[in-house]
Formats: sequence, structure tokens, C-alpha cells
Amino acid sequence: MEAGQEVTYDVAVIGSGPGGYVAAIRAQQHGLKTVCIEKERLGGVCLNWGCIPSKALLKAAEHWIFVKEEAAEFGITVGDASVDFAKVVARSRKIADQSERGVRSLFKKYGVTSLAGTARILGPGRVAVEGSGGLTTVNAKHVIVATGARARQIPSVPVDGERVLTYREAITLDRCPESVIVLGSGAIGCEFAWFYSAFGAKVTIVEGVDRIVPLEDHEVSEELARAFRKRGIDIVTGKFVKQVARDGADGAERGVIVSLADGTELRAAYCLSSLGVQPNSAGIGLETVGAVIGKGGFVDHDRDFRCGAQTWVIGDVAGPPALAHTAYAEAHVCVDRIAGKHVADVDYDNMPAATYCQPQIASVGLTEQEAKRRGLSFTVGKFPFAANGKARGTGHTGGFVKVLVGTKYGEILGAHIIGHDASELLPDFVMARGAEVTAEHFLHTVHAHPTLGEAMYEAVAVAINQSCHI
Amino acid sequence: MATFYEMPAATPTMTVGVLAKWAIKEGASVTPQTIVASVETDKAAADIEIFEKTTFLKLLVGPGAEVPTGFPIAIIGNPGEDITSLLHTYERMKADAAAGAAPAPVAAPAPVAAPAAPVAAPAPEAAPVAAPAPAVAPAPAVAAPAPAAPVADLSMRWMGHLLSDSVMEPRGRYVSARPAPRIVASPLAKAIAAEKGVALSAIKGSGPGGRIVAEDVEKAAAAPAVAAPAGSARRADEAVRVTQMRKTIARRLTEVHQQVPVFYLTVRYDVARLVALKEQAGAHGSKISYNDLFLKAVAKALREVPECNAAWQGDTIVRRGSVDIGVAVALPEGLITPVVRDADRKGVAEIAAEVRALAGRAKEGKLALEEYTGGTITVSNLGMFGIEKFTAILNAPEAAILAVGGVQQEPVVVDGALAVGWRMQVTMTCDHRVIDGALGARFLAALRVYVENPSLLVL
Repeated sequence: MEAGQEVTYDVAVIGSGPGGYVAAIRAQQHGLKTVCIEKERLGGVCLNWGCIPSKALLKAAEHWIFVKEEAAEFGITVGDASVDFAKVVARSRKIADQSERGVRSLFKKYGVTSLAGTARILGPGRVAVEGSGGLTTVNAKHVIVATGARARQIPSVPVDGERVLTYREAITLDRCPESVIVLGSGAIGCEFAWFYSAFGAKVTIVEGVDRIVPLEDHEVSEELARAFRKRGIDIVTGKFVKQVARDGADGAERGVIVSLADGTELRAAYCLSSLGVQPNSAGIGLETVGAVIGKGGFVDHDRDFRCGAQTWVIGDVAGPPALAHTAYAEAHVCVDRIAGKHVADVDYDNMPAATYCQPQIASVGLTEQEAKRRGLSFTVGKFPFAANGKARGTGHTGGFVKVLVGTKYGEILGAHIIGHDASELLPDFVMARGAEVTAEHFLHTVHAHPTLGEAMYEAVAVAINQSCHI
Repeated sequence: MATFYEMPAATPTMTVGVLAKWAIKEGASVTPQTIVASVETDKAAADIEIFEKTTFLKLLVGPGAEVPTGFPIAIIGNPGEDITSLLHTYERMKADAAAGAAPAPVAAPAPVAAPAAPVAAPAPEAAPVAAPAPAVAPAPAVAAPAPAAPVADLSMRWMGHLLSDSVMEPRGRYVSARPAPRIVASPLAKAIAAEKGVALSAIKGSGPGGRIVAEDVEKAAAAPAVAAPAGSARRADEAVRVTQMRKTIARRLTEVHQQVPVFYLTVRYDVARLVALKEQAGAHGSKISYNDLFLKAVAKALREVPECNAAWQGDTIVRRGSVDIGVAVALPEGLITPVVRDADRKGVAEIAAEVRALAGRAKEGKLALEEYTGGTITVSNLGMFGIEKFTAILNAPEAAILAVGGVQQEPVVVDGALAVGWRMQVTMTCDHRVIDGALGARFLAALRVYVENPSLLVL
């Protein structure tokens, strides 16, 4: 498409991250002529600077830990091993490039028009796109806003992109810092902390509340803290950051000073700010369609994801949880409903979450603490990987599966896994919950032996007193 | 030993079936689970499977025959067996049936047996030759608890699991009804239904593909018992529990209706230009409704006659500073009036978007308190339901509410001649303590200017 013209579509999608590109493809599948507008790289943060390249980095860390610490136990002697950190990062960039090309070819396959430029909504069904070649005006019956989110910035943590970083700078940093202070212990913070620690950095995690991964079950937090401390990662909890400043000394090697609310000062070469995300909702003309930017900057919308006249909103910008798979789900429901197809609402109660350091964390549903707070009657089944044959064979005995089973009906209220590649196990529980499988039916489903998945079976069995393996 | 093979019950309520076609020929030897015929009922077409190794010695009826359930359609047994006595019995049964003594092909439905009868009476097994028809006739029109036991029994022998969607005859012949709806429900939904005694068959599933999920069962369990199933002549009364919202609506409407002296003013506006404007907007892809335009007109008119934008407060009348219009939104359990704030300062498109967003949230029950309180006037529109004219009860403490009827074409007199015009009726309910007749009329006249000249709405 040439810039400078006026074009007409059924659907215009702003943003090509997991929400946007899926919405665009889905719309084409419904026979709606669709354009997807992107100001940076196709695939958004997830494919370019987030989920996918970070998995490449984390796998490198896992391999390095194996070479350094675990190979000998398996009878493998490694000679002079070394890390070329720039190559570690280069591989992750190559994978990001592949992902971008993947979206491009999907667009081609399904007939989505890709329009490069910065979008601004002019009114219901009208979007101005400023690209390198000039201004294009897009008319569309429906405009889907999928502009995503960016790292949350707060005044006391001035990100300079040199020594005070967000994930966005850290993901392409081509050398491993000798020391890092990680602010915040959500998924991003924990993943980078573990990654840098694996390659030898002295890492300190600072978390404002009383435990790391604060959205997870308390026992999971404790287990991860134990594993991290064993790796030499320092964890400071219950202390908020007062100010982050660059070290006073001049020169290229100036580091950072992190002052905590209780007066403690921490010093390191780098500081990574991972204090959550903030939505990209400002300055895109949402007010021209009657959309309301609500609490936290997220765009108010109804169950169909409608936010204003002829305008819809999905993904991170539509509200938490800021997860790619949430955006996928929202894209499907939103576009199906635009196309007039009846589909069930997005099932936010069954939204899985994962953290990809090793041990990984994967969870769905209620934590034990939340289930208690709600006054539910349930039993807890916990099964350690140390009691799982496959885990012992492969040397991944850390962690456990914990499951909450409703007393009356045997429904799975919540499931929490911490252990090697836990994220790959969780879908069993997510599917079980989605299909409303009860504990009895779960145990009627034979799990292959030997697998780590058996630990899930056993945890459910423990919850209803039927385990023969612990 | 040769025996009759009878018309099976493809569904629990089936009393008569039409033999659509035989899938086997006379003299055919069959093995278990062979489909031997297809049968049509009032509801479905079904394949009949046989569950024994046997031979069809004689086909008694041909395609198109209408046969009561339990009446012979064939004679089965070992090859070469003498079936003469059975043929005699069959002829006698037909003759009896024709005389009205017992059901027969093309005769009235089988008599209604007590639900428990087929289970209690193992007659067919004990005496397969002697007049099997009346004895096996399953209870029609009842929820058929009768076949339950044989289902469980044979499912163990044949299928390894419960055939919840099929019906087994006492004789062990299994009918798989092709379009018979299988109840698709999650294990949790089944567990809750069993515990609460809710019949899954009465529930419409909301899950993927219409699957019954836990929430559906919980809702059904919370709802009052439904009326007796079809078949009983009268439907039982139903006590519907009153929600908190309904209670509040009832209390407030009663108070207002009893305490506030009101009068009504009805006007008929010429909306030809409004219709044209909406069409124009629609052609440009703007989803603007008559109501959106009307709200804007009300806002403008209220600015001109601010005395109507008021509330009675006992010792004072409060003239409201802003024009905040409540819009009545119907909900399954009542109604609610989300408020468009400062409607006089907003464009029509903005009002339209806001109304849609508020209505959407209202329907989800997600309105914040401040979003549906503190209006200065309310507009209730039933035009989209085909209502021409109606009166509304005040939304206290507001002094006025406008009841808007539908936009419709009607004969009008223009310059002494009949013509076709567009009209819309509006009835204003006025709190007489605040608004006198002349004042109300003045407001409706101001409103007329905007409704009839909608181009002024954009100024």
C-alpha cells in the first residue's frame, strides 16, 4: 500500500503483537478485509523483545549451568568451556527475526494488509497512519486497538538505557554485567535475575512486598527463594525502592546506587527495573470515539471488548493480566463477536501464568491463600518431584506440584507447579479446569510413566487420599 | 426357539414407529450389533441394532408400516424352525387389534403402562411366545424410568460403559437413535447436578458447543422449579424469587407513584428531518440512533428551559446546574438508568458512544454507583419495541421524565392535503410541584425546535 492515500477496510487493527496479529488473521478468516498497523516490528514486544527472545537467552543459561555444574554428575567431563555472551544474545535476535518473518508470512497467507506507521484514531472508523512515506487515512467499520504495554516507569527509577534498564534494553544487552540489582520479582525480574546469575553476575532482587513472585502461592514463593539463594542470588523483600541514581564517580564504568526506603544503599554495575507494565493508551485518539481511559491507564470496555463507537480494545492495553495468551483469547472472542458469531466469554478465571527461570513456575486458578480468604472448603495435594521417577532420572528433583481440590465436588480450584520446565506440564491442569474435570475424573485419566506429568496425577491423588506413591 | 422381534422404543416417549426400511433380507443370519432396520418416530430416525446371534425367519411388516412399540415386526430364531404357531398368534393379534382389543399396526398407540411395569414384569423372558406385545409395551409419555435397569445391565455386557443416550428394551435389543441429543455436560456439572438433584436434560449448556458447565447447573439449581413437562394439560404456577434490584425498583416506584402529584403532556413531533439525518449518518458508517439524537435535543432544550431541569426538595426547588440525562436501560431483572453527564456539552457521536458503553456495562451489572445516580432528567424510549405512546413514572427526585414512542410513518395533513409524514410521540411526566402545565408545554415547544430541525443539534 502506498502512503498518502485514503483506504477502506472492514477492520483496522492497531498493533501487531499477539493481540493484534491474531485479531487481524481471525478477521480475515471471517472474510473481513483487514489492515494491521504497526509502528515497529511485526509481532510486538512478545516476539521481538519479550517472551520469545528471552526463552532463547534462558535456554543458553540452562545449558551453561549444565556444562558447569551438572555434566560431571552424569559422567561427562567438559574441558575448557567458555561463554561468548554476544553470541548468546545474537542467537536470541536471530530467533526474534524469524518470529517477525513468521508473522509476515502469516499475514501474506491470510491476506492481511500490513501498514507500517504510527496510528492515531480520528473518530469512529477513521485512523490516520503516519508512515515513512507520509500520511495514510484508513477508513474501517471496526477499529481494534491492540497497542499493548511497556515497562512501567516511575520517577524514582529514572531509566537511562545505559545502566538503569528495563527489559527492553536488557534483552539486547550484549555483555553480562558483573553485578545487577533487579527491582521487582515478577516473571520478568525473576527470569533476568536467574539468567544473569547463571552467567556469573552478582544479582540482588529487591521486592517491596514480603516475598518474591508475589502473585504465586506462598509455598511457591518460598521454594523459588530457596532455589535462588542456593544459586547465590541475594533477595531483599519487604523493602521499597526510594531512589535509583547513577554512581557519583565519573567515567564509563559508573554503576548505580539503589536507595531503599529503610535507608539501605545497594550498589551494582546495573539496575534492571521490572516493576510491571503500563498500557499504551495515551495519545492514540481514543477520546475521539468516546472511549474512556480508566484506572491505571487501561481502556474501559465491555465483555465484547467494545470501548467506543466502532472501536474495540484487546490485549495488555485492555487491562491485566498482561499476558500474550490472554491477548490471543481476547482477539478471538472480540473478532468472532464483530463477525456476529456467538462464542463464550474469555475465561479469565482459568488463565495460566508461567515464569521461565529454572525451576520454572506455572500456575492456574486460586492460590491456597486466596481459596482460604474466600472461605472455600478444599483439600491440598502436594507431590514433590523428588518422589517422581522421571525427575530422579533426569536430575530435576527440585520443586513440587500443589493442587487445591474442592471438598464437595472434587473440582480443581487451583494448581501450582514449581520445577524443571513446569510450564510444559501445566496445560494438563488448565485443560482439566477448562473442561471442569473433577479429581475423580482426573485420576481416571491415565498418565504415562515415567513422566514428570505423573507428579500432577499424584498431587491430585494426594488431595483426595488416593496416592500410592507417597 | 423362534420368537417375535418387536418394534423397539427408539425414545422413551415413543409409542408408534414407522418402519422406514429393513437393512437385512428375510432369512438373514445376523450377529450382535448388526443394524437390522431403520425406524422413524415423531421425533427422530433411528437405526435398530440387534444384540444377539439369530436369524430373521420372517419379516412381518414392510417399509412404511406404522407399528406400535412392542408389536411384532419379525420372527427370529434358528434356521429351519417351525414358525407356524407364531404366525397364527400374529394373525390373532392383528385381528384383536383391528377389533380394538390390543394395539396393532396402524392402530392407536399402546396403552399406557405404569412406569414400573416393564421392570417388575419379566414376562417376555419367561414366556416369549405367549402374547408378548401388550406385556412389553414400554410406558410411553412417562420419563421412562423403566428401561433404566436393562440399560445398566446390558451396558456392562456389551459396551463397558453406560449408554446414557440410548434406550434398551427389556428384551435386550438396543436402539441407537441417530439424532437423539446426547447430554454433554462437564464432570463437575454432573457432580453438582447429582448432588442438587437437577436434571441435566432440562438445562441449556452455555459452554463450548452447548456443553453444560458448572455455572449452568448452579443457575438452574438456584432458579425455581420449572413447570411440569409437556404432556400434562396444565402448566403449574411459578414463584419467581424477587431480586434485591426488583425490590428496590418496586419500593421506589410505589413511593413516587403514591406521593408525587404528576400530570402528563403528550406531543407529536415531525421527525422527517431526524429520519433523514440518521440515514445520512448511517450511510457514513456512524451508528447513531434516534435516541442518541433525541438525547442531544433534550439537552439543548433543557438549557433553554432550565426550570424543567430541577428537583423538588421540600422547602426549595433545586435548579440543576448541569444537564445529566438518565437513559432507561432494560435488564432481565429490572431496569436501570445510567446517566450521560453534561449531555449539552457533548456531541451526538460522543453521546452515542457513551450510551452504548453505559448500556453495555449496565447489562453486565458493572455500573459504578455514580454512573446511574444523580441525573437531572430521564429519557425512557420504547420505540424500538413498537410502542407508539406511553407514560413513565418519575425517576425521583427528578421533576420530569420523557417517554418516547417509535418513529413511524403516518398520514398527515400538509397544507390541507393528505400526505405521508414521519411522526414520533413523546409524553412528558411532570412533577406538578415543580413544573406547571404552561412550563412543561414551553419545554416541549423548545424540544420541538430541535427534534424537528436536527441540524441545530450540531451547532
